[in-house]
Amino acid sequence: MLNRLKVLRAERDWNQQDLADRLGVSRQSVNAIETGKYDPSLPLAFRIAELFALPIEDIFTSPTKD
Amino acid sequence: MTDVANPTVSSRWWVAAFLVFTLGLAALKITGVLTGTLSTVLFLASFLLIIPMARAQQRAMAARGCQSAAMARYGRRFMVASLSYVGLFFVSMWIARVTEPVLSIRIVLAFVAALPVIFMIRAMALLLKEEDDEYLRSRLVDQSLIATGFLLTIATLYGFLNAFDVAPRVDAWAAFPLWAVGLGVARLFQGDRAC
Repeated sequence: MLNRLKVLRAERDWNQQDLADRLGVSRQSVNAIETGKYDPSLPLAFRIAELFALPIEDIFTSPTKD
Repeated sequence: MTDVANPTVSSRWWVAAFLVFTLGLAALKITGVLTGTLSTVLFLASFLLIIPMARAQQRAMAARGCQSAAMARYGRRFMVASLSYVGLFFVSMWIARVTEPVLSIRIVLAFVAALPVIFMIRAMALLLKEEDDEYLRSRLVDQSLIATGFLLTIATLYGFLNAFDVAPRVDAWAAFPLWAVGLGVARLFQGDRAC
């Protein structure tokens, strides 16, 4: 699944650890999600969306979507 | 910052120190270079290196961003179980050799020696249960599945090799260390090796 996490994080001048602390996950989790190695669960995706005050679909995009 | 100040490098140094001291002292004892009670005490004392080694590994994991509260608890439990294993194993073996006990006592000694290993397995089970970081948990589940497949494959193959008199019999307690080796193999095959 594609995502804009790295861009959104950079816009706020947060490093991976800052974002990890805000989400209550490990920095490695943030890294894995950003690099597309891991797709977050729906609850975590909602937490990310709420943190950035954006709809989920503005952060995560299906790789099969045009 | 020097390399030694790097938690990952420091952790590797502690692992190396642990292996050099325990295996080195074991080799000196087996070859007869070191003998007597002092050699046994030195060999057992070398296992105390588990404590700084485990702490260094925790620091390295924290530096790599893979440390969690559950992982820290697991580290503590495993360290206590490992030290208990060394102590109880040697005490059990010593009692068994020196006193040549009756069957019931030998059964008790076997349980005493196995108990810390069972606590290690329990620590792993608790880690899977308590880890609330879903990415780290998914990695642990994958590693456990690969390790289980590794153990079952090796055990099945070796069992038939033994049945056909190609390989000698191996004690059943080897299953757990072999499973732990499988965990290491799993990490090699996982894409993200940071954790």
